[in-house]
Amino acid sequence: MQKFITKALSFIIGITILFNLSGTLADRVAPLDDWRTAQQDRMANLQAKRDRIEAITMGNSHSDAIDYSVLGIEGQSLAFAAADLFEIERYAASLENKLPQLKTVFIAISYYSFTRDNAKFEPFRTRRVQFYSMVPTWFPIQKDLSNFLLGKLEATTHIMSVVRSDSWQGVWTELANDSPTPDPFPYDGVRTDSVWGDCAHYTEEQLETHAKEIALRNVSSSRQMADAHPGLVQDASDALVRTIERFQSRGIRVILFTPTYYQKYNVFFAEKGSDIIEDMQQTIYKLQQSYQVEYYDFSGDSEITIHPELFYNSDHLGECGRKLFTEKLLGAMIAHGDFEK
Amino acid sequence: MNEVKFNSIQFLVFFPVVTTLFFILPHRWRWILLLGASYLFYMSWKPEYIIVLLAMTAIGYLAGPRLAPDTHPAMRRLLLLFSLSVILGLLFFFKESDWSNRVLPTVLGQLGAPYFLSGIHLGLPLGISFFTLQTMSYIIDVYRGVARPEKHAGIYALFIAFFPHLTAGPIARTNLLLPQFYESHEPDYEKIVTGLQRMAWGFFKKLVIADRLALLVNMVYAKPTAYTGLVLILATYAFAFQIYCDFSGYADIAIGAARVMGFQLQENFQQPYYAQSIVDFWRRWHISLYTWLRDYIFYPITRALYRSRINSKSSLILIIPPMATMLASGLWHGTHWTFIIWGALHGLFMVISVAWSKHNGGLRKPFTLPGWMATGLKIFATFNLVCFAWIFFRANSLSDAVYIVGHLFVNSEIPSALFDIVPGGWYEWMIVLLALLLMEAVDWMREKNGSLRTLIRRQPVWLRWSVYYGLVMVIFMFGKFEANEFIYSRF
Repeated sequence: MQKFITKALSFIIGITILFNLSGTLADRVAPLDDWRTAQQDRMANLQAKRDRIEAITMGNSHSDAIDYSVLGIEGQSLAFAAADLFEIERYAASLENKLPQLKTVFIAISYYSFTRDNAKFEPFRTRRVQFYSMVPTWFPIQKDLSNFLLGKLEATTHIMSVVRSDSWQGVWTELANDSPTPDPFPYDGVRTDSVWGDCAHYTEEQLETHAKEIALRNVSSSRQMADAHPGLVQDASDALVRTIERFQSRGIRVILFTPTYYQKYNVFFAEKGSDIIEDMQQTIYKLQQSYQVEYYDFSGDSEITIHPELFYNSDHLGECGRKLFTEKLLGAMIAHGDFEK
Repeated sequence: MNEVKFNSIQFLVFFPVVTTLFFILPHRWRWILLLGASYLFYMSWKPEYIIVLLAMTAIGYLAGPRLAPDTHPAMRRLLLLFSLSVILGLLFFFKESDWSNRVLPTVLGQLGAPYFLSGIHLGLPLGISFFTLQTMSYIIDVYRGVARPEKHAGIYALFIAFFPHLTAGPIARTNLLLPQFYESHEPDYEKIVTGLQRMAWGFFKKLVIADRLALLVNMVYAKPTAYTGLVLILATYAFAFQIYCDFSGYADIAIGAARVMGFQLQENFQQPYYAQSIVDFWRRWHISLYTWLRDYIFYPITRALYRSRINSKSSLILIIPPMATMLASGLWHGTHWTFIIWGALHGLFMVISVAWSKHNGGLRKPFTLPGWMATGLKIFATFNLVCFAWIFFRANSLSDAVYIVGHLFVNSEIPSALFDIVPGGWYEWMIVLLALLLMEAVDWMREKNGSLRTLIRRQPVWLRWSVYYGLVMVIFMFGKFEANEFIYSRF
């Protein structure tokens, strides 16, 4: 038996090294996700500034709408691509007592925030696994043990970089290619010198095409997740309530907001998923009544939504848009009461 | 609770934990651990269906001692009929859950009786077909005096629910598995290593081959009318290998997992696509089902026919037993026409095969083929007959199957976008072809009484470990990790 244990341990150590080497190689040669590197940078930044951070932003990529340089406070975006409210709850729990100066938490609420459970939708399940691997949480989301285990396995073995959705096709192609590797995530937008500054953005036509595609995709994935998770709206709402209570119990102010989307995105989303938007609005209304939580809805702000220059793509503000949006949010918070710049 | 399937990450935790505890615990406590783990394994799917498993276990356990030869013969016969009827009734009730959900409330309502399952939508309990046959086998064996009734309720329950074979076999026979629970299994390096190797090979077949082939098969068979000719032929051949790799992959994992703990389960496959006739195919495919059907249906019918007034040379003796056996095999899979025709086709092929081999000797052969060519032709013909029958097995409806059969050779030109039919295109095809070649090479070695394991064992340690690492890397790099169901866990 001792012989077996020795050999088994050697084998496990060997396979871990092999996974790490091949996973690192695959990630360098042909990365499948751009957001992972950004996320790692954010977490490193959070760690470095933990004693000074006064505000954080949580949520999916829409929460990147806030520009802390405009707010004039030490803040850090912890936006996690495609994050759902269950992941935000876990993330919030992992921050407990780690940010002594934390006073404000911004949480982005998208139209589909209450109809999203990444574990129930195969193309997004890997995001959940990556979430567990990056976030220092030691408890799985309810009924999600398998992704939790995979995530923690990934953290030590790089297993998800070995188990690639393209079955390594991208890696072989890149390795066989003599020419320099092109940017795997090229941004094919334009730059315009506008009244808001030098703005990178999609053209009107590109924005419309993007809006149509992404709105449809978001509605469709939300419906599939809701089908796979009965009672999803209620469960997601409960998760958000627990997150709010966790922060409020420590005297931290929680601010919910919906950033501005490009007008066509709003139109296409409402066309296909008006019920999803209604669900979101009703849930938020109930939360406002029960928890006195602040909520700012800028989704259709008329000064932003019609200007292509302010959008990186149809559901994400560009650099210029983020500044303008944050100014407007700041104005609304000041008008509401006690926000000190 | 998260479902513990063989191809889930939970199993990667569940199995080592159970195995470690199994070896740590003293022998007298082990059955409790294995039974608890097996029930947990089953309940991780849908906890409420444990009632069905428990009911089946109770029927077998309670009937056993009363069926032993020392009981009154008439009582025994009556009890045998009663217990088999209840077991088969339960199987039918759940297999035909659509019918049960629809008809039963109406019937009971008309009788003025309350429907005790109102509000509950019945589904098919995982592995019911397997533990039903195992319970029946136990009951019949005890009745015949071939096996002794098991007195220990826990051990008997474990015999039925032992987690490696619970959901998709191999169907364990009483005298092979039951005594093993009384044996003390100490950690055995050889068994642990060969068991793990077997499991890895099963994962390779399931994750790299079967789940990859499923992409093409599912797409074509979901809407066959969108395709003709070569695509339909390719999808059917792909299904032949998908179901083989899926089911034999499951068997490899089950047998390997049991072996790690020191148990021996019956082999379920023996290179079935190298069969030279349909009879030969059934000696190699789903062996535990075939031997069950042979022992409890084929032989009894044959014996009954010989005992009856039918002339022993009558063709009825040639036709009825194989047809009945294969129809029962089809019905065991489901009562849809597609399964019944699949079973009937195999029965028919068997009858023709036996008749051919009986009368072939009397025919004058115009020429003699070299042995290897004759063998190759027989393998080719048998494989294609099996594939033809698979069309009915896999098709979603009889009309789909009829369409596929009617359009196999219509418009047989190679579609220009053949490689793009499945996501990933030529790359996915290349992986699956290389993986199939590897699997076929291993099967070929076994067919020639060789063994890859023995060959590897003779190599220096660095080469052995390279092969092991290579296999693990191939599984992770090229496997499909969407935790797809094993095909036979649906039955």
